Amino acid sequence: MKNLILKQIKENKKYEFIFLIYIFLMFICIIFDSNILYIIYKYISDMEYRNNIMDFYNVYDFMKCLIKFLFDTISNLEWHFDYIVIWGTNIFQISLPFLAVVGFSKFKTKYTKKIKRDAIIEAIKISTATFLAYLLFFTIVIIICKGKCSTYITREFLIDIFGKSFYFEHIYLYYIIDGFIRFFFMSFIYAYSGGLLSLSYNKKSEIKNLVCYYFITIYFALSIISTILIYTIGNAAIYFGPQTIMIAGTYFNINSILIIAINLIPLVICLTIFHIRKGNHET
Amino acid sequence: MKVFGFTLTALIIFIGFAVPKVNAAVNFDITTQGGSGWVRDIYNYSVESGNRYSAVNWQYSNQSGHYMWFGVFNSSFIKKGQMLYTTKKSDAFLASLTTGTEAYLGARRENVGDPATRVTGIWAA
Repeated sequence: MKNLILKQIKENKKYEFIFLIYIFLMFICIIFDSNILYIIYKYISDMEYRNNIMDFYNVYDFMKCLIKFLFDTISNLEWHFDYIVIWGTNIFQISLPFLAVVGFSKFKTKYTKKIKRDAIIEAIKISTATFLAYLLFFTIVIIICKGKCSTYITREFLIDIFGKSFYFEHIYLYYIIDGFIRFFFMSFIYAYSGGLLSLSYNKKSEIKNLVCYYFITIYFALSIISTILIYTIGNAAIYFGPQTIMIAGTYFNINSILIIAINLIPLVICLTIFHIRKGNHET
Repeated sequence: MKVFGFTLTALIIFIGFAVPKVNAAVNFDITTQGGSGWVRDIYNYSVESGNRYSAVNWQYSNQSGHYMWFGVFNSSFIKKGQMLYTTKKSDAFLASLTTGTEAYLGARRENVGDPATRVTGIWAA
């Protein structure tokens, strides 16, 4: 039994790594949001700032004062579940194209009929790792915050489907569904698309170029283009931004179905490329 | 393909740097460059009478229909209060400040990819 567990741990190293990176980043985001890093930097680098803090606490030992100050800062934080989930997962709007790279990394072999199913399994494993990281973060935050939610935070994403009162009446369920779409569904789309692209080409260099340039570069290019388009065609341009779904809760009157459907485009493109190239492989 | 990739990357970096600058030049008044980090030094004032409310006047944004976070920081840059606004408006929110100290108003958006949001704010005790 022990050997079996050890074997499983050894075999799934990649997914465990994704899980750990995600959970680590979520907590780093919260630390960043709390201003603690900035405060420590100011305390160390700015003498006037440090002296003011020491005067305020009437403690003139460098370390003792810093610890007292940090403790004060942490206890002053807003320990609300919804606030921490929003800002703990905010950075993941730039993570999606990198999952496509992870998705492609397994497949460097020639196309076989069985391998398309393997690409789906690989994508499910990757998206499960990211979603489990979210669920663990979600659970830890509920425990730390004792389930306390803020009174002023609201979200727009999925409200057009579930109704306006859904967010306030079922806040935990809302964040589970929201997390499922952002961390499982979106991760699956990008990881599977990356896998499909890698199966479509034989040369390793071709695959590397395609996945890295097409996913990472186009993802960020579209994000910036959508921002620029907002000046000319208005708010409709947010739908062109591939990162929009990851922060959809912040856009007023967003069409949830439309934004989910638009995010299927990378998968549709990769499936099309795959089926065109598959013909070439089979001949 | 490599040339295309690198050209596109260079273009993105260029646009990424250019967009906030264009806005900073046009919007000469109180401007926050959005992003997901707090832009703290929008406006500062001295807390006069142990007030507990901070007023914010969100007048303009280069986009319509997005949420905006406002926060109040004390002179040690510790956040003492915050509010999420769903529409542009003038409002007040709770912040626990100490009389005689300096405080700062901050703002931020959740969209990392749009660093050019302009926010004008006036706030009072």
